[in-house]
Amino acid sequence: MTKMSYREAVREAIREAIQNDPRVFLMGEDVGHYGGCYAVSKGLISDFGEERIKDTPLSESGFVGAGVGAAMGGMRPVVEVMTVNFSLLALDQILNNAATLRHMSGGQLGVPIVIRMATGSGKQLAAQHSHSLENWYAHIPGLKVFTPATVTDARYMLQEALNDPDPVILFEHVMLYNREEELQPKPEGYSAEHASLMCEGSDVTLVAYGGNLHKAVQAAEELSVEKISAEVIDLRCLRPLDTQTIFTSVRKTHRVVLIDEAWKTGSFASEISAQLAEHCLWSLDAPVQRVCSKEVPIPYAAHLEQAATPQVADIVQAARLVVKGGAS
Amino acid sequence: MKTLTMPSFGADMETGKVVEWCVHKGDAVKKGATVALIETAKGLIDMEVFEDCIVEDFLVPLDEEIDVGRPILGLQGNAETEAIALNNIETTPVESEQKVQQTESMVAVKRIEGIASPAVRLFAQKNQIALDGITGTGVDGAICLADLQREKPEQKVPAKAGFDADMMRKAIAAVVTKSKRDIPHYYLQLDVDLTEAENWLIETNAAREVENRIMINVPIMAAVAKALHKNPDFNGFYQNDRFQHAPDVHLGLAIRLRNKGLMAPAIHNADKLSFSELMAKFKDVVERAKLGGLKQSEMQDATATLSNIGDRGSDVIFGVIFPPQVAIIGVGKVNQKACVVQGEIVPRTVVNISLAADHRVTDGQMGARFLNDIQKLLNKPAKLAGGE
Repeated sequence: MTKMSYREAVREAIREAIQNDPRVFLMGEDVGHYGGCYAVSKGLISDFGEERIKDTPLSESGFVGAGVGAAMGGMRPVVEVMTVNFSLLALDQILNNAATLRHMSGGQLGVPIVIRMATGSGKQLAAQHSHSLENWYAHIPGLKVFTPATVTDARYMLQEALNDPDPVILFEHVMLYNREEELQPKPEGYSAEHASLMCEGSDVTLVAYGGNLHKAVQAAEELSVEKISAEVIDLRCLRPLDTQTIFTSVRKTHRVVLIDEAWKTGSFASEISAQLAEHCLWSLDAPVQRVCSKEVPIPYAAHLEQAATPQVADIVQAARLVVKGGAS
Repeated sequence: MKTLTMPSFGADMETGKVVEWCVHKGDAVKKGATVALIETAKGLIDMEVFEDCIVEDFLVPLDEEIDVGRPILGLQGNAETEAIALNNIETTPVESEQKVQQTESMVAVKRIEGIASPAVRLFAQKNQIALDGITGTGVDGAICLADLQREKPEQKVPAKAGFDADMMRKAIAAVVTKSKRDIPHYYLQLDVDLTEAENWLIETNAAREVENRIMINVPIMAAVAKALHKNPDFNGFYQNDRFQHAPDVHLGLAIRLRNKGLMAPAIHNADKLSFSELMAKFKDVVERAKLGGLKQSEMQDATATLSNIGDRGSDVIFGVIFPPQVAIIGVGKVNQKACVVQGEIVPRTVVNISLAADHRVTDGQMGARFLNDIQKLLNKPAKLAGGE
């Protein structure tokens, strides 16, 4: 088995897709000659040329819109947006066109576009490049929202997204690119749309996705020292949401901590919290806990950035509270 | 803080257990509301409050033997304190300024009394577990599943509906033993002619809906109650070596329960009730005795007891007085008998009514007068019926 970084896994996924399907091409700011702002597409332009690896002008609305048009025209574009913050410039194309055209055309037109974007904090990129707005996209019917957190998912989820006849948003957390893991062979019956159990436990369920998954796993390890058995769920896909995996786990453990780098108010953790209140209330033995970002623009200073976003210690503390009791 | 004490449901009762609080801390409760279920040897009794108040504190743990007279529940007297009553999880969001302050101070101490997690509430409901008295160790002091496991509620909590038949048998044994040891009973009996009453009932019942018809035992109850009023030496309590009259007639009815127990709840002011009222009260009290839900006052207040064995097929019953009462009236089977009336043998409806009375208080002659008063009352059913 080979060790691979998350960045390499995404690159290999793009490479494989381009090789296997003549309709696939990559497009975005600095994806070609510069190799991508996170170096994901480094080297691809020399392998595939400018036809398949397209540098675009600094206009998210323009090139995402072009991607929507290409998808409607029969291509399978992979559009890279530098960060989720910038994707707001393309929100009109994503929400009003990509997500709605199948509905508006009475099923005649699909938009099989894949939009990849970096998300999250941790690299001191300050308040305009560090936010987590996955929940905004997970709110929109007509989109699918994948959040690969492991090298294995980074390697295989792209093809699932390309196979989908409708638009898929792929979020890549910036702190994952350098992460190295053993690449697992693609599992039989692989699907991007199910949550997975990262580790089993009996006392508390930790629900996370993307870059925060590994903080949850580390928290579970620290909790095990205190004899608290934590189950960790990797959501993998925010829309459609695999609620059954969450419900099954919470009905077993009776306690839950939701980890989400979004601001707490209106976060995706809030949505899960509401689902649990609707479907699992009578299984809950403690109030649902959300570990989210503080309600501030993500700061530049490293210690403030850390303080504003979910950390392992916060997760451990929340889990300890619901398992051992104490003041909320 | 006012307190409610462990009540006595009989002279022989020395201890009782609170098995369930029917209120939460902070609840405003109305006069007459049931606040606790008390388990005695006689079964589960609802304990009432006697004025409007606010529940302040539970002073004893559940399921422990508590001496009669010991304070078990702390109360605040009136409604003005309502505004600062602790909000429990059942209440609506805080509104008044006082309530907000209270809430804030609770946040400061971070321990909210009386809360339980949803999982605990569901589990408690399914398993009939009382949560009061369990110390919560969850978030903000909530009772959580682990607390239930630690407290082993399945051992502590009695089955709500089914009391212990063995325990009740023991209680009956204690009462009758005490009665027969302490009370010098004397016994009288009289065949009472019910023909007039029966004829009157046939007539009045013909005009009534089936569910409103009066049973023959109702005139008997009415006559006994009115005779007790007229002969007050049979209506009261013998305590501390002296007899005390009871001002009202609260007629205890010996009721056999299906699980072989016996209870004698009171019909209050039975001498003042019409046949219809008596009939309704009779049905109600029998039903609640069998299903549970008798009130404390009904269990304590009987001033004399009526035991009707007749429908079980015995001609005569001599009862055992229920201390500290001083008389028990037995009613046998209602029979058709050949009687001599004005020199002729005619069929009459007859019932044997007996009196077992406390010789320390009354003598046989008084007892005979009492029995004959019952006969006289039954001879004039229209008057006895209370204007019906």
